[in-house]
Amino acid sequence: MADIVGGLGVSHAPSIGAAYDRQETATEAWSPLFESIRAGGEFLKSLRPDALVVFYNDHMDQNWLDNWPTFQVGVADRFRIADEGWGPRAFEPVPCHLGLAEHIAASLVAQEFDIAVSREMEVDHGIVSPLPVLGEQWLPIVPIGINVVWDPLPTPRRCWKLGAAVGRAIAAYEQPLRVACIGTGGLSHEIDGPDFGTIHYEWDRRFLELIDSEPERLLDYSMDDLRRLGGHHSVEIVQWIAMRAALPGAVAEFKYYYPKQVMGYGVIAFRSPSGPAAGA
Amino acid sequence: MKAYDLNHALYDLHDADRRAAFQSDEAAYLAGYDLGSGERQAIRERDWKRLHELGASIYVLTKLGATVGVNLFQMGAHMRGQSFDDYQRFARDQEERAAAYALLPPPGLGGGA
Repeated sequence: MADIVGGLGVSHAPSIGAAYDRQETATEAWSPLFESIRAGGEFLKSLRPDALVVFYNDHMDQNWLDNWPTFQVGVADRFRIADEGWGPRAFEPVPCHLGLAEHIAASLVAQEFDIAVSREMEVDHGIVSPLPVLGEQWLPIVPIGINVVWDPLPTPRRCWKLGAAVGRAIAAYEQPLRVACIGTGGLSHEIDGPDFGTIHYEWDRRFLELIDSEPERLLDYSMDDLRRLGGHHSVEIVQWIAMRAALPGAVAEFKYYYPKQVMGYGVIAFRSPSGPAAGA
Repeated sequence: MKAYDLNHALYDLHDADRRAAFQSDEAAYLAGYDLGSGERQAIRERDWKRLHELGASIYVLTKLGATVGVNLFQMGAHMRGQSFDDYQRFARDQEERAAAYALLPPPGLGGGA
């Protein structure tokens, strides 16, 4: 049977990809962020995962409004890198763990989640901005998209339930597989309108506490509440909420926070009770 | 839907060929979409604030920005109604206030460059 060995919450942003591609990861401005994400990568390596389940959101790079999915599972051999307007970043397509992806998709439908299943899809900075910083070698992934971009959005509580269902699906997978769950996005940011660029750093720190020790308290917030607390685009933190729900009993090993430019960047690392002990 | 066609016209710029078409003849590119005169004008004038108010998603505006050489921060300054210098001053001041809230790994952890 598969084991969920741990999880990671990590911000995603075009700025992460741009600094990486321009080799600015060691600059004074960006090294605190990259060292934080790399610490997440070292942690991930210590979990020795065979596959990553990634909760993330597309930014109108894969999906268009003719058929906009609330929840989306990618089930394909591999996922090409999307062109977000600057040309696709120069990475090989990200491989999919097809067996686990098929299983999770089937299990979610059996658990009454009416997901979209994408047999061909491209992945954007929602996955590809943190992934190469976490580790140079692609691990096979199962991408799970949660809509936070175009109303109507699912409630935070629904996203938690989805994450819990994904956790149950992984635990029921009949292969000896070590799986880590990642949630990408957030923390606070608002990247349009008159409040463009506002960082809600006090709320971000509060969120990092809540997602660690009292995640279910976050479920009483509506998406509009989260927008007020962290800015319009901070609702991406439901990707962390879904990841957290897939890890019952997990304990945070560290959390990092770096407010910069237009957003609060965050990293949090969870080790599952069934995962290898720290330093093992 | 409000702004569906506006978003569609800008979303299509995710495609390199469509970006080239926009760059070579902007009016001809936009003629292919059912846009109102206010929407066409806002695109022509790179009026980011107005485009936002008209309902264009930031995720398609960045595709227009990539096509015409305007970055997110320049767009954002315009949406705030500020000069780029004033916006940068705001961002710097905010970073200074926020710095006390940072939580960073101990030096040496995570590898460095």
